[in-house]
Amino acid sequence: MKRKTPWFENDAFWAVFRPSMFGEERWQMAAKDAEPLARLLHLERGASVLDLCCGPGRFSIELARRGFGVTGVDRTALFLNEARRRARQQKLDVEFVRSDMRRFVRPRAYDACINMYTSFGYFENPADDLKVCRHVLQSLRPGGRFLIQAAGKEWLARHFQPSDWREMAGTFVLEERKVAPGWTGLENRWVLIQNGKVMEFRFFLRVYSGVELRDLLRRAGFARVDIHGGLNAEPYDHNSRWLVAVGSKGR
Amino acid sequence: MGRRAPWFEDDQFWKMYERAMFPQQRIDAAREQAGQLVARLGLKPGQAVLDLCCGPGRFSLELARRGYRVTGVDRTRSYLAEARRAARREKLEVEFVQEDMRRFMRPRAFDAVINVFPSFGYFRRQSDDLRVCRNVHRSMQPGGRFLIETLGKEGLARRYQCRDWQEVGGELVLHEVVPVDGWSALEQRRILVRKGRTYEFRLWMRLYSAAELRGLLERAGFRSVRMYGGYDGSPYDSEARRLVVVGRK
Repeated sequence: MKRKTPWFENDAFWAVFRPSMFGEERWQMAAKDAEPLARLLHLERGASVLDLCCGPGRFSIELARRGFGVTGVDRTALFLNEARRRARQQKLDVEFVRSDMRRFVRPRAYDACINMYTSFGYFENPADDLKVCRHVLQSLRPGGRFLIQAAGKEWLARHFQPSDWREMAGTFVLEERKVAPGWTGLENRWVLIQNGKVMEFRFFLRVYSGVELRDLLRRAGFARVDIHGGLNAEPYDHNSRWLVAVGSKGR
Repeated sequence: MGRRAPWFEDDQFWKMYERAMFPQQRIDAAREQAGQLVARLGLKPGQAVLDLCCGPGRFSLELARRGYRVTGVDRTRSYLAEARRAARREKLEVEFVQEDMRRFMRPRAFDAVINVFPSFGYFRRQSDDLRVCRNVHRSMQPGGRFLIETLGKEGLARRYQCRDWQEVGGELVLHEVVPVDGWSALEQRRILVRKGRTYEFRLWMRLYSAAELRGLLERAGFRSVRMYGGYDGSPYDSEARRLVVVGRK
């Protein structure tokens, strides 16, 4: 029986939205975020970091530049090619691996793992999210940390807009969102208009509250989980743009 | 060492806020909502219902009017006295019991249990919330349903306003609401201005998302937990004004 290909395995989606997802300002932001990120993860000189769902490598490259040993994992070949090109240009030694986050495991290979920019909650089956967390736990050394940065359910509810659109260098990105019953996720419809051509994509994103993400990480076996409202360890409250969960593996 | 009494054990608070919390229109609305409530609970005529944290009894009384056998439980004596008075006036037979929801338990005595109008999440220890749900589970007949209506975390975030105020019956009521501990709870400051005097109270409430509340009910043993955006069974989504969760024993 042929299963339906999930939206995130559609390479055309990532190719088409590449410019609007990873614009120049996002690269600059990553450069700014790397410092507090390293602090929050307690990274010591030469520590090894797994960048899970690294995309074109914004954080992988920033962290490698700071001397950390980085492995970037993503399912999208197009992004990995770009990441490799950028690393080469800067003469940085970064390992990029094409793999599904549900399958990638390297026992006790890393001091930290990051999953940035709402790269979590893609899978139809919620058990897959738990599986990812368990794999990360296995891939961490004792005392290692796993950081997830995502749009939190509370922020999404607070700023919910059924529809809006953006314009980027002549391209229009139209977004339409519907809350799945019980606020467990968002049904998204994105329409891209480029040179008069209209492309439409639909996808579902499971969303987590701070408490829900903490509970998920605990269930996966993390000894301690801290919830923050940003990479500078701000409190997660009504002023937070991001939900940042940091799980620590027991020693 | 004397422990500091939690805010919900302060009788003065409930007394002072009675008018603001239970204005006539809310009591009137309960009459209409009771019909929807009965549908959500799948109640059959004459069945036994527990109204946990019944307050002055607006749902207890309305359900009794509709012929159900009702037990109302609350910790606040003055609310129960008022509820009893109202029942007597209408010659309704309702049992009212003064008890803490963490302690009240009657094995298999009820066909349905309701807990409405933000009466959930008062306890600092989350194990107490779980205990309440377990007590309810034990107090129910198999197949019975437990309905919690509360402020959902998502709905609250959606309409979040730090400060607001109202005028109720010539009195000014001010509130300040701040999410704390990673949105897991709310700290509230309430100020009431009555006859030229100002009274201030501080409240704390655990805040549940729909999925968190569902998880709690499941842990207490409830099955097929449903989430709604109101008594009418509307979906709990971006337009929902409240969170209604119903679990089955």
